[in-house]
Amino acid sequence: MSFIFKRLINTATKDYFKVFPKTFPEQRPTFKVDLRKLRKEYRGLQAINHPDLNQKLNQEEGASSVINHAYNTLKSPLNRSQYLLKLLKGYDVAEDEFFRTRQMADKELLMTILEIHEELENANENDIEGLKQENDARIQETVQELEKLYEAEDYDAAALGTIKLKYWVNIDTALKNWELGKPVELTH
Amino acid sequence: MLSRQAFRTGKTVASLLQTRSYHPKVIDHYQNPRNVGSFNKSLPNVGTGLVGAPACGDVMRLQIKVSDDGVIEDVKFKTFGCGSAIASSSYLTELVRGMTLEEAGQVKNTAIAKELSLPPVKLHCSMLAEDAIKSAIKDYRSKRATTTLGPEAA
Repeated sequence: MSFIFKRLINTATKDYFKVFPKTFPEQRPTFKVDLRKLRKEYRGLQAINHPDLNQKLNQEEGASSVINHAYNTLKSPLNRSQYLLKLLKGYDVAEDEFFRTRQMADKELLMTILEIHEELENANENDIEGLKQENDARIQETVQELEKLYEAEDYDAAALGTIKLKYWVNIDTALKNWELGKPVELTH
Repeated sequence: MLSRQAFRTGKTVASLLQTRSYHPKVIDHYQNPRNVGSFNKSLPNVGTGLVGAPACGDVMRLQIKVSDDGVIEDVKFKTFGCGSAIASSSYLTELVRGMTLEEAGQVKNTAIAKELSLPPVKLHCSMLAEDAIKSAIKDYRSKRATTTLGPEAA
């Protein structure tokens, strides 16, 4: 058991999809994920590999930490997309360097974000729920776009879609941290 | 056990350190940002730079109002980003006011980073500010090119 799992974890440090063979039976990187299945498998794995129960394995391989990291990467559409682009294409969209060589300015998108920022600055408590719903719809739409792009293996467009998702996720964070009278800023 | 605990608390400690590492000048610009606002972007003497940092999702708009002899008379900005990005753009507005377009076009991000003592992980914020002023100058020049050359150029 321990031997099999060690092997699994060794591979898994390179490919997180292989940490969850039940969720990804084809063992292929994919953007589409059954989140309920993933959560269930994650909980099962953590139950077996909890550091308190399996100290030896944990010390040797950091199994529990790998499982956590793999889960947190795959459950979030943004993290998953960033991870996929790196895994499949070597694109590092979480690094500024990636963009230095590319012209990816989408003025319309930037303008939209500044407009939302302005709305946030002028918002009161009653507006926040509505703004959150609008932004959730944007996130959902972009995630659906990304599903199609990954299916079509259009990775350059997927990189652009991932950037868009990053902007929406930032707005989501700003909405969660919103307090009346507090300046709207980002922490990262 | 000890290492596990450290792992768990690691994130909080890191964010605490990050908050602490803000230089007083950054905090000053962040708390009292200079020249926040906007000009009418359709005015012929206004140049608008709109730039984004895709990796961290910051957005910056910088506008310059330029006199006939090519001097930046007034500057306004709006930034949706972290404290360092806000401070970088706020400082930049003070820096380029009164400069000629040529001078402002040569402002380097290192000058901003040095003034604000930005840590290496925040250098990209100063780069975004440099991109913003360059983009504003470019926008102003392209407007002038079309208005001064007018129909004869076509």
